[in-house]
Amino acid sequence: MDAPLFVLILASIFTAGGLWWALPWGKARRRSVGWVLVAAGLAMLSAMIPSVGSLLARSLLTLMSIVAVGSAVAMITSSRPLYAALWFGMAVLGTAGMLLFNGAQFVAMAVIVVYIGAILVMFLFVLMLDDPKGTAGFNRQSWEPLTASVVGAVLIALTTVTWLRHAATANGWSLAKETGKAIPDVVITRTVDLGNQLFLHYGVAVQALAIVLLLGLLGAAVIIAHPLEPLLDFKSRAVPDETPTANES
Amino acid sequence: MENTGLLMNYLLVGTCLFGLGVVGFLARRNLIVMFLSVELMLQGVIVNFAGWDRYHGQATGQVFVLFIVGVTAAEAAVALALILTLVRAREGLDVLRLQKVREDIILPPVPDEGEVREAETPSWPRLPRVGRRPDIPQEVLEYRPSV
Repeated sequence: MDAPLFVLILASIFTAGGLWWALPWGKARRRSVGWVLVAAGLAMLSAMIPSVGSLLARSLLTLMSIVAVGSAVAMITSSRPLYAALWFGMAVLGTAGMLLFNGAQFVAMAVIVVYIGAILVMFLFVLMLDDPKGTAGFNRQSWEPLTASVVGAVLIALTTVTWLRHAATANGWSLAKETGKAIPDVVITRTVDLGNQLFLHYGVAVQALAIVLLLGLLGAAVIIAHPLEPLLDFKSRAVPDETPTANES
Repeated sequence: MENTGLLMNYLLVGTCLFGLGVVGFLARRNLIVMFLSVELMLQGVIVNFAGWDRYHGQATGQVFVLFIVGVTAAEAAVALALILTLVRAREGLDVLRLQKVREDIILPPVPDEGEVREAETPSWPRLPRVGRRPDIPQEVLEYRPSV
């Protein structure tokens, strides 16, 4: 495991350095260098896993992985929040494509509808409240970009090495042998299985999820009904009557 | 098709999405982008569940993905209400303006019975007044937009 460990350390260094360079600092510079470094680091990581399937299936899977991860990198490094939201939608599309590759059509459509159709449109509306073009200082400057990049890269590297080493052991992931089902190259659909699982085994959980959604709606209504006191209210601030004495410290 | 290789592909993508979400949540200062980073971490978990779902040949992973989507919808509703309230009160999406949300519940210590506080009031020279002191709230003085 010496060569993969070396590759892993190099990949995490590349990823951390590229993310640090690509995150907004408030200074204008050529940030595409950071994106190239991140791409190199993640490509090193992906070179450690074996290739699968036929050429067409592998190309589709690689394309959707690149769309998902590349959009994620572009989202967190974009200084314009409007573009960040649109890149998040692209990352959701990549994730939905990966779900579709597994024959989970219903779940893929649910992810697209809920994330892009509901959440993203709602937050695009909220983004218009403050600085959608990203010219303010808090959009152009990050909070500890180096520390955050190192934390993210180390997290990715540690998780990857954990499941890689577990897969390399003799009895790693032996649960698939218990099911004994041969998994074909292309999964057409498994929505019927999903329905059976959902309403035969997880009926109570579905009801609990409905209650959680209802409580979330009620909580949002309660929060909106009790607004906070404005902190920076210059207009209605009364002019103080007392004259300050000279001894007042 | 090799099951383990396919699973590793999904696990790698899920790991990368989760780690990038962590980076975005830690580094960015826009409330909306921080929330979208949390959603990105949930996307990584969804990809992870999808990979294991196909690896085991069951549909249980899809059930959990649906639960994640439902919980995310509830979370987005509450987060939208919170962000709207905070934006209305703090006039901005900068997360540094939310450092003063908590109440000042830590009171100064009560002095003991026998303890007598020395009145340290030195006699400063009286200076002529030059104008009314501007009324700037403490939060404005402590807010640093360029940090």
